[in-house]
Amino acid sequence: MTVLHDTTLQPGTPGPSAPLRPWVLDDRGHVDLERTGTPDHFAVLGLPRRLGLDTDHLDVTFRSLVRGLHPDRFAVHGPAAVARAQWHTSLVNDAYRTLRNFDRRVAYVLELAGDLREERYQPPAELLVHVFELNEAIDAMQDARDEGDAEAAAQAERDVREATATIRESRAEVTARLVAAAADWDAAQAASEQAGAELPALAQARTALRAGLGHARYLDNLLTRLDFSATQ
Amino acid sequence: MAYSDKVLDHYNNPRNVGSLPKSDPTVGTGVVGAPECGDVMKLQIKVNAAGVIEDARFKTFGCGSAIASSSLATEWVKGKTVEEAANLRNTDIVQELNLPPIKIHCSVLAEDAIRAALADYKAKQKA
Repeated sequence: MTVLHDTTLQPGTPGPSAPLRPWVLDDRGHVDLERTGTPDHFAVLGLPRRLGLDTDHLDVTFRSLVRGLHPDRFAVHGPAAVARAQWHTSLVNDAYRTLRNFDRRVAYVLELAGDLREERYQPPAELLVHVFELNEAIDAMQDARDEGDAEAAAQAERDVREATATIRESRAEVTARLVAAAADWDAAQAASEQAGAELPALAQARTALRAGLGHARYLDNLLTRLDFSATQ
Repeated sequence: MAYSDKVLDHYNNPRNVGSLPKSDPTVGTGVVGAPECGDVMKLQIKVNAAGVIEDARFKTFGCGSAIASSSLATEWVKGKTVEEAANLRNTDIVQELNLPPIKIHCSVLAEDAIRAALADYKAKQKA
């Protein structure tokens, strides 16, 4: 069993290197997935574990890593090296896809803490009533269209459009709350790293992130339904 | 994924669809939603002087399993006392409708809706 470090994997790669933890190889020289486990997305991209992230820098890092891992560069080192590079590329792709999007990044941080599905998020009662009425308005719009009642359909369309605008406003508010919670989480994470132990503020920030994310998903699902009914 | 026959039956012939007057003091209204899928469910109960649920109505915007779960829930609570209705569990719905693991949250939603309607009714009685 051989343990390799990432420096051996990227001959002459320009740009940042990914400080991956050592992986375990099988006797053919391929990465033993089971014994290696899945490394953390932040580590794969050589980033600190923070939600505040410069996406331009992330794009540059990603492209540079993928270029450096191109299979052609490893052909001379044999098929096992090519397979390792491909495995490494898939890790980089997964990490990039997850961290590039803010909501997914938040979900990933919660997942790392084992916090994502711990409790069910219950949207606030006023929002639910609002959502319910909106769904009724969409139904009324479709019924009016089916019956060919142009006047009623136009009125229902206006109601739906108005409600959609309100929901988009709520989504923007939720995003702002999530961004603030993300900054709190980053501060708590930095303080916890320094203290060498998880501080209570970190769990508090996770609770706020979880609530914001649940709320955001709910609104996104609703907006998808609204966009869909608008095209019908 | 194929729906079970019982889900299809409730989906095609939903029982007790509609609304009861929300401001009626003997009517309890529960509106709940599932963030996983954006479903929203309204369940209402009408309780008589003996504390028995004499009528129940629902309206659900969601998938077939959510509609079937709430339709079944209204059937089950009718004729039960408020106390008996509180004992209804989502696992009973899962079993009756043969829901797959990915649709279990629909049955949880129906249980939540009953609880919310009961809580609303009780709050009205106290007021």
